[in-house]
Amino acid sequence: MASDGLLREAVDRALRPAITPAVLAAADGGAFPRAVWDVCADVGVDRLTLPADAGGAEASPGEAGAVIRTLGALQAPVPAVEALVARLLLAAAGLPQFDGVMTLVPAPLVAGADRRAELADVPWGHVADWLVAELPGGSLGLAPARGLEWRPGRNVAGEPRDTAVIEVAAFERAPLPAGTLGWLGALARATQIGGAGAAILDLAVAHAASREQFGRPLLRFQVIQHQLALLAEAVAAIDAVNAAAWQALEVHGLPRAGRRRGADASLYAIAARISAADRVEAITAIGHQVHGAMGFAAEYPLHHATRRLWAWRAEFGTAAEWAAQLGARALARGGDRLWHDITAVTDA
Amino acid sequence: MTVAAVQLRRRFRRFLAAEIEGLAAFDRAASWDGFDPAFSRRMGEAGFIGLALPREWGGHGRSALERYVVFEEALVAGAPVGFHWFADRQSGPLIARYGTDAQKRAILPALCRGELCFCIGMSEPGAGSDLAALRTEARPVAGGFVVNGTKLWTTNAHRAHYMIALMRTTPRGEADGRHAGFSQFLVDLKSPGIRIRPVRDLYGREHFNEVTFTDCFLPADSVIGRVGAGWAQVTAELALERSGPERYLSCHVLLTELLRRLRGSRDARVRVALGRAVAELITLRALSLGVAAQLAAGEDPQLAAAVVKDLGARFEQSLPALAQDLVAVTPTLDAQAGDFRRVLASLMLVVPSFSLRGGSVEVLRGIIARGLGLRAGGGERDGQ
Repeated sequence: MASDGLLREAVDRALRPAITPAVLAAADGGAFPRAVWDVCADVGVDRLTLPADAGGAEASPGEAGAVIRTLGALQAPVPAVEALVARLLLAAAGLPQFDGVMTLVPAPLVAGADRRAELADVPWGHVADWLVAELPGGSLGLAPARGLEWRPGRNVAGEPRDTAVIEVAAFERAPLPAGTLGWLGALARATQIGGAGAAILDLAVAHAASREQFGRPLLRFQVIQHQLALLAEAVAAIDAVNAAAWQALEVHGLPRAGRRRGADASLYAIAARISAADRVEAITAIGHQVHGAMGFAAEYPLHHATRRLWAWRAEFGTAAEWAAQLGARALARGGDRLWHDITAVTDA
Repeated sequence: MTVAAVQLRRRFRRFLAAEIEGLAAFDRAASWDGFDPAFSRRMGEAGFIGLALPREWGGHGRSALERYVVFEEALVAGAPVGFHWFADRQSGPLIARYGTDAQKRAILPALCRGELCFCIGMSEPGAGSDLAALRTEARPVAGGFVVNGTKLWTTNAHRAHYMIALMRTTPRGEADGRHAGFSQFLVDLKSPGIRIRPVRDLYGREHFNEVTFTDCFLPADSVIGRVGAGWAQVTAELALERSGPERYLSCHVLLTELLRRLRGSRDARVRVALGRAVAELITLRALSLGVAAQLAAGEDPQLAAAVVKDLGARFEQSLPALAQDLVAVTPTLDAQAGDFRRVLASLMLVVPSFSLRGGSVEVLRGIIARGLGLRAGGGERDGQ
């Protein structure tokens, strides 16, 4: 993972100047910052993990995780993370890579009797060119997003989450084990939470250093120091388990249809998802508490990060849903197998 | 993980399976408090102690990661590693790093054979979190030092062969700064002038001790490292003490017993609670492995170790309450009671110490705040 840093830095360098406070505010108001998307596409964020002959950078999952964290830290108001994950899945399933804005359908499709399915809360659905979704029966589907009647919606961070109805037959499909899109999307959100959480920590530390009360900077107060330490611990924990999950993906790859299921990255991805979502409360609470009223001002950047954390922790499954699944898995395996399963992921 | 680490894990699992087969959950729950000199000797014979110490001193010359693998497997199994734990975790590495060849020759081969028990002489009646307030004095005399003072909360002192003690070799008033004038000593606990008195804990166990030095003579060659460099050395030692997997795995047996007891449960509450616990376990292992990797790369893991230890303590401390939420039994230590009730009781009675031993969480959060650039200087530390 020696080159993690290089790709991450390249993305950061290219995107940071493009994501200005004005761009974030405009995106908050519903505008799609096409220029930011274009920067992402130019740098090749969405094609990061693809082979060179598909226009990709051949990045490892570990490197992809590092870039997704950066996209979270920058709060990029475009579906760059969705596109990166979508293309990773398309490649695993052997589906084609078309140009354009690509997004993920968070929940598996449920087809009605009329062979139509609802696409609910699709990130940037109304501006997307392509949709990637999990279809019934363990397959991945790719369909054009243009021409659908999108009903616009937004999450609490103001990010577009749009709804439409689609003919299931519109999807080109290929086998991929059921649930894969779900846990990979959940891991991506957990990784974005790590990045935005680090941004909150940076803002809080800077504020505590500059803001004086009772005749001294806030950071001179031990109670503030301890609050910031807890915030830093939460971010460190999220980063560590996310990195372990991306590393597991690097070692085990994505599950393939028809292959026997041994240790895979899903155990760590789900753990990362729970761990990140459950730490959102502490991170946002401390971030706001340290900032006082300032953190509530629309013109101060804190809320762009905190509102995203609140939104992201609920997307691609809540912590409680994933915990129920992880708990059921651990209960089925039994106490003696727990440690074996945890070490099998890293020992491969 | 490296191939060597994976192979070592397999070999050590086989060793442990044979060793602790049939050991009750209650005994396994004692974790690194479990004390069994014969077991330690067999573990040493089999080559599982002193993993990362140099071969020329009886060690196995392996990586910090491989050492970590053996530590975590021992804790998960609930093996009774208490006899050699401190020696293997910190005293051996300390002596290997700072000791003279004579000290290494005298200690390390026997330590690696699992024959030596060490205790850690840091805390004193007036020096807990504020270690620099310690008063025990080693006054230079012809041929060595004369020690007077008292160490407190010294786990295993009554059954240890040696203590690694931090003492003042320059009187408080004459030292240049709060952290100057300290030195570390290898104390043979059979030396005249040492009195060891047990301090019973709230559980009823006697592992703590008060160790009183009265004109105790220590020869000059019992100094470890440099006279006056004790503070820097002890800081490095504490990083080893804080960074290991025992900072989140001491209650592991309770979690596995819970899974065993609730196996097949369809209760959503049970699933969610245990799923969250498993997620936290995986998170803590990822953090802790990161510290091991830092150690292996020769970096200073002080900050990351503080994070693991604070989060690990909170996780472990939450497990007895979690268990009681999910299984309606009353905890008891009665020998005739079921294993699960006894495990629960025993852990309930020890978990308050988890956020104290090895450094109180308040001290650790101070270290983290310093790492964030919120504070200057240093000064606090540990327990055991």
